[in-house]
Amino acid sequence: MKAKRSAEFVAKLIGLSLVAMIVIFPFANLVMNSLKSDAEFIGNPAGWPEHIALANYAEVFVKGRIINAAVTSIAITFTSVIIGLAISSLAAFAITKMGLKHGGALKILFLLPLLLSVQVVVLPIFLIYARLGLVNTYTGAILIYVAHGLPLGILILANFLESVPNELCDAAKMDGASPFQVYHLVALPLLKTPLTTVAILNGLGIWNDFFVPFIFFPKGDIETLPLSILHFVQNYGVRWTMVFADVVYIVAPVLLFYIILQRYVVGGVTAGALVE
Amino acid sequence: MEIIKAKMPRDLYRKGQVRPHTTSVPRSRKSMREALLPYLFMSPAIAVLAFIYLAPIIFMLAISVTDWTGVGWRLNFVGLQNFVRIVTGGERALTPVVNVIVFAVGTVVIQNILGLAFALVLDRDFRGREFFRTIFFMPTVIASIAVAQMWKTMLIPGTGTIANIAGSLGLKSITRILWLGDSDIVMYVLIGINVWQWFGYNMVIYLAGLQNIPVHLYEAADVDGASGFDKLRYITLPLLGPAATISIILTTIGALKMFDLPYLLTQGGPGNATKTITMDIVQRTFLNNDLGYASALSTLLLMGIALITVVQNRTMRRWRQEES
Repeated sequence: MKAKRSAEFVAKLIGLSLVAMIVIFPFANLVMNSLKSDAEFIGNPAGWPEHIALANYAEVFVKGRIINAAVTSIAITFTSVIIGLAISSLAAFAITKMGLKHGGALKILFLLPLLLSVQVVVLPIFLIYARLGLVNTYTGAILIYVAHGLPLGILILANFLESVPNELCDAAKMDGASPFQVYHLVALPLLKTPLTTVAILNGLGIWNDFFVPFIFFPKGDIETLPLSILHFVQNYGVRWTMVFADVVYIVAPVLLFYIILQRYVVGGVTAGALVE
Repeated sequence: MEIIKAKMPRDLYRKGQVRPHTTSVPRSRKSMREALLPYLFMSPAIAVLAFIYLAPIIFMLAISVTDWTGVGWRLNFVGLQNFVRIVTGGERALTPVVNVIVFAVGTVVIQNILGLAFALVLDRDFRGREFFRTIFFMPTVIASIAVAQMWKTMLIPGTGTIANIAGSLGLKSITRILWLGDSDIVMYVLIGINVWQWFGYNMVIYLAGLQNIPVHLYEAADVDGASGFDKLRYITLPLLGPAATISIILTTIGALKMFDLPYLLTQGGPGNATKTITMDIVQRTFLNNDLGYASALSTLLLMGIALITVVQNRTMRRWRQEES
């Protein structure tokens, strides 16, 4: 019995390790190839690099305007996330803690946009943006991201607030706190965990997004990190080693973030998927 | 929470942030303000959602019954002609829809089977469990553009990584496969890459579902002498219903909206073999100026997604009723 169980266990470990290798291999392959010169990559696209060529990273850093793109990505991601947190927590507080009779119905109303995505409304938004001069602006992209994150944000925060006893808010009200003070001084500090969840959920999506900047920054003077790839795919013909180094610049910060904050990332994504 | 409760009010007074009962507002005015205040709190959210979703959708519905090209305001009302053009548009119009359906079915089936299988394996506590969970989930956090470029190099015919490995193993026929250039197989390659990136996401949803199954059910089954398979068949799988519904729906909606991966890997080609509905919308909008058609297609896509979500909610409710 024991022997059978340990044999099963070993088989399981081997199976899992094989799948893990399939998952990791493209990452390893990417990093290996990013360290090769163009000539070496053409001759030897699958093996270890013979001479480690960090020159790729230097060239991509300059030609891909990586600093510029990173700053843009950080600015857009942070602004969208913070504005989203502020707006969705205010709405969630209003729905759950301000004595509204139809809070539940309102919550569902706010959920409706979950049916939508930027892809579905890209055409009319673009036309409206073109009239209002919002194409090629940070404001335009941030507005889309804020709207996109709101439904799930409001849902997660409202669900959490519903589990907070009303007495907590009532006590503050009795002492003469204004509704905004109750929100600001009682509710917000309690919401730390779900706010982190929402921030991670929306932040990852915005950081990685290709669609919105691709469509709404057509002039090319605003570039996020994912857009920087276009320098090496289009402008210079495809130079693979440049593409690899650029992809490493795009992926590395997120992977680092994921490995350090793994528990929160997985928890955040699960919370996003499982609230209903 | 206890601490906050005990400390809160006194703290507020000390900081001088709260003025206790000094203002005397007439009762009726106060209640009027009180009634409107929640909506004031909600107004930023309502404004943003109205601007990004509500107004564009109304606009889109209006365009979908016109022949507008987006230049100037010259346009005619054409009724449902654009919708008719989609349905009767032959291959060019229907290929993206068929592509998306194939992609959706493939990804939904494979990702959910893999996700469930790995969730069941990784739900048991053993050393290394966290490591495998971390690895399997890893591809879901990176940008689709990165995934596309990683796989593009792997798949170059003749010289790519896969061709190279196959060559050194003596598998000559594999080295010649045009992974992204053969319209017969390219969709399956895309499905494979999508599975590679996202099965960990489905796994995590199923893992969360497994966490929600009360342990006492298994204990009771043990007392009754149930086998491991019985427990899987009669406890685990039925109670995973909600997780499965969410997992299936999220994968389906993701597939319906697919844009990045095929755009970055194949530009929709070869021919139209990997063109998706969203790519068609973008192309007809920005290249063909056929806004009426694109709006009609967007409207249909929106309705499709809404329909699937409604069906999901129905199923969810049925599962819940069966549970209780």
